[in-house]
Amino acid sequence: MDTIDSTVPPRAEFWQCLAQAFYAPRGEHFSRSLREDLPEDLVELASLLGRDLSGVIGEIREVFLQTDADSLLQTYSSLFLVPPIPAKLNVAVYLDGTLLGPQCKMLEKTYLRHGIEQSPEMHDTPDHLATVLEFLALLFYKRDCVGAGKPETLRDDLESVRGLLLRTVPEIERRAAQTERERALPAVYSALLRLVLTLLHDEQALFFPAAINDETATSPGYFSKRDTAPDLVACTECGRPVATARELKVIADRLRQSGLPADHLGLCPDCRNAQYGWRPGRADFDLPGFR
Amino acid sequence: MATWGMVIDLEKCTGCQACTLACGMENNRLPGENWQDVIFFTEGSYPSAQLKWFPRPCQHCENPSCMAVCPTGATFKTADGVVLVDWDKCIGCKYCMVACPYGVRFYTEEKPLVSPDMRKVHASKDEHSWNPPWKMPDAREDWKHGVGIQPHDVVSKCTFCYHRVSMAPPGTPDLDPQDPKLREFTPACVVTCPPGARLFGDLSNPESRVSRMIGDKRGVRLLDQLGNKPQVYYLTGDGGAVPSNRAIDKKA
Repeated sequence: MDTIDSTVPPRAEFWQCLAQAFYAPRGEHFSRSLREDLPEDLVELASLLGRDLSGVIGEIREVFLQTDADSLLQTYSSLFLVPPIPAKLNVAVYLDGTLLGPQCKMLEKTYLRHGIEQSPEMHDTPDHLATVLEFLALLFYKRDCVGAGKPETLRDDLESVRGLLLRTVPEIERRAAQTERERALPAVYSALLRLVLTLLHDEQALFFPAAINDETATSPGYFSKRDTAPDLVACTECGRPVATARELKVIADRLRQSGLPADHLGLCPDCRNAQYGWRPGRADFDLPGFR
Repeated sequence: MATWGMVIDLEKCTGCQACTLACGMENNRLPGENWQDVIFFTEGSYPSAQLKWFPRPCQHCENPSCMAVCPTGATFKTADGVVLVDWDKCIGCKYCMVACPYGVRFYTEEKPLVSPDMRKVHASKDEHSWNPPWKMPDAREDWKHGVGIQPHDVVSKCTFCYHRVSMAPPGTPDLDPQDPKLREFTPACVVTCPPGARLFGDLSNPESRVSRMIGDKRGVRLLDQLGNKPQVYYLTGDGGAVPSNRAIDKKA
């Protein structure tokens, strides 16, 4: 069954497909699509992206083949729906310790910034894993199709969403795997969560494809690549970069909103000590034998 | 609920850096990444130049710049007044490092401050940024409060030894290392300070020793004119002010 939309960039399509796996598998058609078509689509899309994921996805395919619609729905319900819920799919809960906490609000604001509002049909909070993965797909779609709108904001948001997932999905996976073992459920969702984690760690291939041939690709994360950003503002004392102009504006605005001064932002943190009078000693006296 | 704060008596401080070392051992700091920094600087010029020093931990401000700019809410203030970083939320954007006027934050992936790079000498095989030969017990590691060996790509800072202080009996006015019952709850730098230049206690309790010392000895705060309202106070003796304020707070 040809389920791939050729008008959507494969990277966006990939995350969109993966997101579907974390919605409740209700309905015979949707369930069959998940069990039969999803693994094939993921392998095909990965190959379009130049990645061979057949090994990782093969494991998922095997489990899907042995699972019927009812047991898939029962597994999903046991893991993610029936109280006490062993593994909540609301990712921000693992950081905030509560529903609708600050991380969730942050996500909501990010969605709004990209013109996304929660549908009344979505009876869950904005930090549901499926929603977050779909949003990730949208960000990739915007980056690959819409192009030069706000590339830096897009990269920030991509990295921010990825950071949120990297911090939370391991815990969901651990809980899901433990519950599957304890209740003898098909190990399908822990395998899917492991796949999400694998892809999130596969930064160069799936997040920064352009960076593969880029010398900055070896640095550990996007924010470490700031030294190569085009609009860096130099320290007025030593000339080394402090931050990008946009970042300094954001920081200055936030400080002013909190009633705090922003005058020191022109200097890098290393040069501020000298401004405060903490200048290290120098042999600047004029004595024979000293330079 | 206490509001923890520190008093550093600059008349007693000898610049020995025992606090720096104790903090490094207690909190598994990379060599050179001194949460409890002692700054050495010169005042005056030859032939009357003087070498001076100034201990500068995180000021745990009442109104912290770092918290105001943190985009993910990773930097937060506990109910007992301690400013901490949640390493699970930190994305390593370094906004806080740029915004903090005191320069007391550190980023893991910077160039090593001392050679050789201990992150390579004691490389980590898990999510920790390195694997030092000395470590606090795993049970005390608490990434939610920035305690322990940090993961990659996060910002770290002094926690006022939160893993100790948070266990103190409620209502304790001062964490005095001379009291055997309280010693284990007192920050490592305060316990170790050989001349006893550091005091730690509840700033909101007028009967605490820190409150009385601040009142009796005219405690001053670093860069107080900025409005961050640090919770670290300095006792400077009769005519003194902290170095950054000296030109402003000069005695007539």
